[in-house]
Amino acid sequence: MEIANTASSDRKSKSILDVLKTLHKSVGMLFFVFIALILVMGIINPRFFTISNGIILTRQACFLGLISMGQMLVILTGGVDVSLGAIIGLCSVLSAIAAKQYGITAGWLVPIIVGGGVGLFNGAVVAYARIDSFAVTLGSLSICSGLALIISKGLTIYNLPKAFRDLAYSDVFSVPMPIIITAAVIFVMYLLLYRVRFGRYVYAVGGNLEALRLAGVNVNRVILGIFAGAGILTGICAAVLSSRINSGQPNLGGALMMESIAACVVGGVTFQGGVGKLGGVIIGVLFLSALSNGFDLIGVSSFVKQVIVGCIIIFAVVIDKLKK
Amino acid sequence: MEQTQELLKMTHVSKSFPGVIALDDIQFDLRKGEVHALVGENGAGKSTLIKILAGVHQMNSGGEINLEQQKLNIKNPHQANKLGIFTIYQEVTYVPDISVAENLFLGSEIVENGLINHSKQVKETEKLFKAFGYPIDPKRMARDLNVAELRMVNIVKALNNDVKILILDEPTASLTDKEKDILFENIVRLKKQGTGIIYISHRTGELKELADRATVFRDGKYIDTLNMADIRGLDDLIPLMIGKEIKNKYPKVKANIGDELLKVTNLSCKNNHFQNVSLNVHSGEVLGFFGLVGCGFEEVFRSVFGVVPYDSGEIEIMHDNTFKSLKKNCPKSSLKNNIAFIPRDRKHLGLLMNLSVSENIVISSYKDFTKKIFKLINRKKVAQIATEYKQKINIKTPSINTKVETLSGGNQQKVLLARALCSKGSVFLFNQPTAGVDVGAKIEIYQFINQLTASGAGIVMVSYELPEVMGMCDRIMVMYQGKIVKEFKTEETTKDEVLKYAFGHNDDNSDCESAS
Repeated sequence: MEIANTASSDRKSKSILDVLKTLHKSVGMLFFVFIALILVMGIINPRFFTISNGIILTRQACFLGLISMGQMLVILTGGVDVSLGAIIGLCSVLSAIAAKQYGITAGWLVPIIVGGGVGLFNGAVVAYARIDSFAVTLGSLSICSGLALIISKGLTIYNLPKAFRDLAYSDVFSVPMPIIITAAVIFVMYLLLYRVRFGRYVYAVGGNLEALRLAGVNVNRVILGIFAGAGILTGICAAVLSSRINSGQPNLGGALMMESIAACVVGGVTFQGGVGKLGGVIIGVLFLSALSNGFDLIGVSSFVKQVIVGCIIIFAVVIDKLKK
Repeated sequence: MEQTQELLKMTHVSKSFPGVIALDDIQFDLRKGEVHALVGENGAGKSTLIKILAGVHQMNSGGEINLEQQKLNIKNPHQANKLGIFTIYQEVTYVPDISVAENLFLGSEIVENGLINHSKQVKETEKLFKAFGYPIDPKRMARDLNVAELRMVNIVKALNNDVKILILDEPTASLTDKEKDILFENIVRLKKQGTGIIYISHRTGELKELADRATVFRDGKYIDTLNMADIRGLDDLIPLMIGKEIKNKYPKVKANIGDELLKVTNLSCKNNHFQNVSLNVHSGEVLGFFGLVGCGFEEVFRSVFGVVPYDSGEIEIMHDNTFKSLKKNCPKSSLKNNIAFIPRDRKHLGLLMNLSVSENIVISSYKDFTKKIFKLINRKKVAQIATEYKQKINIKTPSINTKVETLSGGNQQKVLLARALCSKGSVFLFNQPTAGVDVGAKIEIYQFINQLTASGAGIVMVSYELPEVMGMCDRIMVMYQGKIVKEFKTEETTKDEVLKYAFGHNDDNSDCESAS
């Protein structure tokens, strides 16, 4: 019988087969389905494989990536944060106002702070009032979108300083800024989830909150950190997104909330909590983005796209479950 | 003769899970009307065997199960029930938010015209329990019942069928004599009717009373089958179970008793039913708490550690040569002040099932495992310490990175022990340290307690097992209905005396409230 090999007992192997095996073990079937998808897309329309399209795809994926990493933190605890989309709207509006009144740096920083603040609020209610995250964030969703509409009077805020666009449009060594920012965030998330205590506690909260409390950990602080983190990541997403459209829109980010949940679920982060890897979420994000991008190239109507995306999500999750 | 008496025959049955072989080519047979005991350590394969018979697991190909000479393929629990195989598991199974009647008829509801007839179910339930001599209000919510009552619901539910094979896994844990008597009466009745019974238990008294034969498993392998008449006691079975002779069941090593480490004064809690509990623990000492089900000792220590709040009283712990008062309801402060708590309910209160062995061990003490830069976890140190503990307390696991949910009960308990040790406690509160733990692991845990006391720790052991308390503790406090009724020095008392006080005897009057 096979005795399960663990990653630490494997020696660093150079053969491609072993690399593939490790990938499969860590992110499941999804990775291979993703590769298959890319190939199919590319065959149908070879433009898919061009570098310029690759950059467009990756840059577009950044927004989903940032918000999905935030959602991942919350789903890992067995909960869900449905307010993230509304936070983007609120932050976008405040970001635009700050940029106009106090300069572009303020315009980029305010959304991050506000996002973190709303997240902290969510976390506080979940932790101290011991209320289910879905209920709390549902309330926050309403509050944030309402505030966004009030502050903006329902209108788009434009005429921002030209330099505001730099966050989304500048290049560093010809790599678009959003990709650099997202890569940096991924690195920090990696450290946070796997190399520092906080990450162990996040997984533990999802596994067994009461046991963690008995183990002497301040569970409330962990929960605060989780939701605040989700808020901050969403704030960063809002900053870059607003910079991209060079305006503040109260309805920005509506669809992103649902897509972030989809990306997490496709990436293997299940609602039971305590299960799921960062790599999985990244692949989930790329998967959905590639799907969207590929469909656009082929010329599939976006309505049809929605149906197909839904089917693929269900398919991917079932396949992943069966393989386990 | 034996052919017509044969009820169940299992041959060449194996079962493997990723990374572990739970059953290795075992055999097992059951005769009509016999009680066949299944003994072995945790991890020996007993639970796996019964889960295969119950349809929860599928055995590997190559094995054969025959029921009354007919080959079987038990695909799921529903089918097992249809075949007449009923199982009562070690952990009570119930749905907390529905009534006793609804729990009893779960899966076999009384349906008329497409709707459930609740009043009929209630009436039937009442009748059934009355016939069992164990009246329960059928409308009570299951979450309000205690473990013994829930266990009886499980038993009545199973026995309310045409049972060909009854499987019982540690059925008398958490039962008082009243329930035990009812259970045994029914077992005798079923025997007469020709039902075959598979009985898993560590309690020799019960096995001697009920069982006809006993089969021993060890490490997933079939060892031997003996007639109970030929067995004098657990001592005959232990060598087969662990493959080595254990001379001393309670290897207590007395340590030097030093200063007071923990002092509890007049602790009371109305909701958890204990009053005026006072005690102290010294370095090198093992203080035992004994009582019957419901005496309240578990709740006392949950309050001491900070799991549940108390109303009044004071808890002081020695820290840096002075006594510090402990904060109420704060496990973190307890740990900071060097009290470690090893809970009874491993699954719900202790282990983080989705995390690995090493992560579970270090979770309380990460501050000792962080590097200076960015407070990154020092993974090498974690692995090193975890491996040390794995070897020291002999935790059986394929690797320290295995998720704890795959470990057997005894080894899970050891992981909790390692966690307590890792947090560098000076006082250890054990809530039933060897409950549901096999003989071999039990002894390892006792030896470990010896090591703890030798190094100056103070231990409190709360247990329902009198031999364990008498064997390992220096002093014994007996509790009855939330109060401490007597304190003994173990060497100056007998089992009978301790038991007397546990039943409610007090020195003022000789009234003994007997539960039997």
